[in-house]
Amino acid sequence: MTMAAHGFKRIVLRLQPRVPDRTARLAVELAELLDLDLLGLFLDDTSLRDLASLPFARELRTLGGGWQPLDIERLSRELDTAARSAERLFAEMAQRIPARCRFEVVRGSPRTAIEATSRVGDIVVILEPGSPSERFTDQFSWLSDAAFRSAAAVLLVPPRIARTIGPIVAVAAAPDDPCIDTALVIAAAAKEELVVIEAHADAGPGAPLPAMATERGVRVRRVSLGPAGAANTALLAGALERIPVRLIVLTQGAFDRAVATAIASAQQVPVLVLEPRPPDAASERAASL
Amino acid sequence: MDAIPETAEITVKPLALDRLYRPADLSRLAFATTADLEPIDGLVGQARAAEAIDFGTRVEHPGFNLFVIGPQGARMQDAVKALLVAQAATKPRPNDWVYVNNFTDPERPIAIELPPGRARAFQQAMHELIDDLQSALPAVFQSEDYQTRRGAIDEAFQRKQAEAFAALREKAGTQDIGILRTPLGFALAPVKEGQVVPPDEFATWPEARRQAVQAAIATLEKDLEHIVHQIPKWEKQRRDEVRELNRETAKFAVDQQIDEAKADFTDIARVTRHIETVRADLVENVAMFVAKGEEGEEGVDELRPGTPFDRYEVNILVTQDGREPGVPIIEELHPTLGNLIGRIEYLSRRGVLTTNFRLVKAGALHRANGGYLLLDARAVLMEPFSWTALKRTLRRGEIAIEDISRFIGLTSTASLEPDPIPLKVKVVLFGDRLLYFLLAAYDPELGEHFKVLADFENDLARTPETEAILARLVAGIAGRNGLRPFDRDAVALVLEHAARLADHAGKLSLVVEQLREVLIEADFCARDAAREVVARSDVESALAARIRRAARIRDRAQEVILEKVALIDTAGTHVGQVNGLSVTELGGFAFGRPTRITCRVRPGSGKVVDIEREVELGGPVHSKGVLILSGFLAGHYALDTPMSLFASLVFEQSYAGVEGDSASSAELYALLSALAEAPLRQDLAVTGSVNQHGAIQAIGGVNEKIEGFFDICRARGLTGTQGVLIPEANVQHLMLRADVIAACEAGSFAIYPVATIDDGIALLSGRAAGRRATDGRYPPDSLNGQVEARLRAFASIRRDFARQGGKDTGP
Repeated sequence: MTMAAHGFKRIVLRLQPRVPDRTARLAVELAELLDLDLLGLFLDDTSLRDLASLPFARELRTLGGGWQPLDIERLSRELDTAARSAERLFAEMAQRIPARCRFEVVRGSPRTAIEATSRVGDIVVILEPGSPSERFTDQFSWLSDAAFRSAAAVLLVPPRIARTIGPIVAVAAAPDDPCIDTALVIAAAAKEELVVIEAHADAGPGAPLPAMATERGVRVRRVSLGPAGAANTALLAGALERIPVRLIVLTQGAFDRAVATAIASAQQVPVLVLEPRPPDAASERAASL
Repeated sequence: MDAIPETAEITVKPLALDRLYRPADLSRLAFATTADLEPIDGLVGQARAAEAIDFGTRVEHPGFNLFVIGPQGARMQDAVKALLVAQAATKPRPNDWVYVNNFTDPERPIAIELPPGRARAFQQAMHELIDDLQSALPAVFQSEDYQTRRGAIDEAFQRKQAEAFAALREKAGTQDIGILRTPLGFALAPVKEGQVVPPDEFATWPEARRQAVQAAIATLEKDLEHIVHQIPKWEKQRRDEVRELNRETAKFAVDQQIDEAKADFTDIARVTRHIETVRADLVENVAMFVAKGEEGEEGVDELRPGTPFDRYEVNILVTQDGREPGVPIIEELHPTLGNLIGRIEYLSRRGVLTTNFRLVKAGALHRANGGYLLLDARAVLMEPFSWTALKRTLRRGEIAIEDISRFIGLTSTASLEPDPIPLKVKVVLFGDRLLYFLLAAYDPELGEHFKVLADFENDLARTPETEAILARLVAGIAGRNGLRPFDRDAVALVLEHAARLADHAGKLSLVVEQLREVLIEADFCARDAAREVVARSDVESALAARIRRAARIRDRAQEVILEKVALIDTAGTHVGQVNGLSVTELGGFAFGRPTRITCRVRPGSGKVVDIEREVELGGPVHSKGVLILSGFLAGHYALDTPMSLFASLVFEQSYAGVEGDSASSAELYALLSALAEAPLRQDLAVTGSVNQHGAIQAIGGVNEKIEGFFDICRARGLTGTQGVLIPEANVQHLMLRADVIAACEAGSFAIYPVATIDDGIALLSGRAAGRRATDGRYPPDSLNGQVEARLRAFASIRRDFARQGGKDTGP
């Protein structure tokens, strides 16, 4: 297995006017660990421009000022300023791996922008807003939906990251859940322990471990939840509570999006949600490992 | 040059040998060397000063500080310190003082007084308290209990917002309205298939539908506005709840530790009060201990020196911990303002000078508080601001640390005003007499603050008893300085030298430093001679070497006389010319040398001109002496005739200033000689001042003057007739060099004590001065008779001149 065995090529980080330091560092570190490109994406939100073009459009300013008409020119200026600010921010972040970093301004609605940008082999970083008011905006919802609908993996980042060291946890819904391989590659690169939480019927000490774990000297620990694990989020949360986890990897489908979001929020660690393996790829797995 | 008259009637006889030098009498002490003697330290022969010091140090009232004055080298500090050490040991140790942070006004640190030796324990207790809390508080705040309660608060806040926004979104969603985030706030918009309805499409909608959407948005806007307005209230509520939780949690963690820290100081109310303040501050500022996150904000504290926890530390200003019992005796050798009253130090952080209560440093007054502070008056006066600060502190009765750099505008940075500390100190100033008298004359506050004067004697009366005491003092000095023991004869010579230093055969110098120097040098000589005990010869060698080292100028002065560059006769006679004697003191070494004094006379208006004065080389005392000569002439001769004399007097080959009246008798002899045209002996030299009645008065430096003339005579060869006329009153001061005494003993030199001008002129001229007979006239052939006759002749010439119509334009 090579370093590219995880199948990722790029991290897509949506740049907002204010990206927390830890999130920025996380994206850069992950790009470095997995030898990925990093795309800084500024979204020039056309939905706002569309809104501003409506005759009755106005905004409620949160820092005072009450309701004010939405002026399209002012909005454009603010978006331009925000884009430049994001570019500067990205340039600072990317100093460690300048050759692999690229900044891009994408115009469109959040949904169309993500759909147009993300592809197989991408990890789209979705930063969970700290404020519920932000979380319940339609833009976040559209963005998030688009990311999960896309062919890319999604890295859910909570507003506050509790730890930057600790085991990499794979929450496996099946013995061949692709999250195990990905988590193993990340653990090997980060020189961390791999904890495999087995939430399936075949769990047990007898189940085989990926050969790379031995090759790379990755320490692997198993936590078995049994077949109920995938459905019982409390059981899963209980298991995670006992691990000082750094990053959780799971596969979409076995766990729904809400579970992934809840885990990220509760554990205050990033959760990497993988696309399910296509059926043909699953059958080839044994040969490649 | 005239020969010496042999028919003169001379009544003055040379002094007997025993009057030239008084040997030490050690009969009261039985000892072979100083090792056998019980040494004496401290005050010897200073009863007056000792009484003053005893009074000054025991009287408790303000202002009764001591000003100790005396000669340089009297080692007053050592003597006073020795006296104070005994007194200080009997008094209880003064209290400790610390500065702590003032939590309500950090620029005014609080001073706390503690019983002696307790400051260190207080400092330690506070340090340990903070040290413990630095680990205990984060642990408590990371505990499950706290995190659960904190999480519940945050969650409740989040839930409130989330529920409100979720409800709004749901309500909006049912009407195809979306909530959007704009750069500055929120907006509502019609949405369709995951995006805002494009304006073009919206324009195509039927009017009724557009109206309905706008109406729905208007309603939802009210709801959104209501929620957004609620958020700050919820946030405040959350903050209050978190603050209260933090306070409770901190109090729980802090209380026990604080109580433990307080337990050892329940007897000191000020300390327990401070610890309570610390408790309150800890509870309010617990975030400082807990928040070590990377999100830490850079604030004002970043510019403060040290860590944020320093505010709880204790700055020990003065502690008696580890000190001997008794009150402190502090001697400040460099009394700058800061060294005296304390100072506030600064640290530079990012180019800004900052300070806090921990940078308050004690001064000598703090360290001496409760005891004694010894200061050199000259040093205090030489340091800018120190003298006024000392007086101000004594008047206030408390030590207020003042930042002088602010007064003079050197810094404009924020500084501190620490609590003043009550002052109870006895200040002892040391200085020379001139300094004290000048201060007393020009500084009216001196008397307010230094009411007790301790005036050290320069010398003490010489008796067998005092010689015995000084011998023990010598033993003490030798012992303290690790010198070899001095044998009996060596001690005797040291005592005799002490008399010479006192310029009096009947006194002993108390300038201990000068004696110490001689003892050390004699010890050095003994070491060179490989002697275990210092002998008299070692002291002699040391004294000779001291003179040799210092006598270059003297030797040059004698050389120019011997080479006849400076004209001094030591044989023969001469009219109107006499050898006067002067003393020069340079760098602590004094030597005598002869000076030719001459006089010329002629008729005139009754004026005796002092050439030195005319050319402003003569000082006022010298001029006074010359004017006295006019008074003497006027009162002695031709009382019925106007004084019609013009006389000029000069110190020949004198190119520097002349001061003092010790040559006034010599000047008078020259004047009388000139008037009487009587030659004076040049093998004699003269010293002594004279009054208007012709009485010879005492002068200073008699030993040096005699030795100065003796050296010249000896160099030229002693003739057996040479000698020096000295005032009779100076005989008691004679402690002459051994070689002079030897010459006197051999009859080749003589010292003549003279009481009157008549005695002196008879000796110098070889003729009787002459006394007025019953007819009121001097015998015509007497010297006085000839003087009077000459003066009458001058008067007659002047009268004749006036009668002939001559205009008197003469001097």
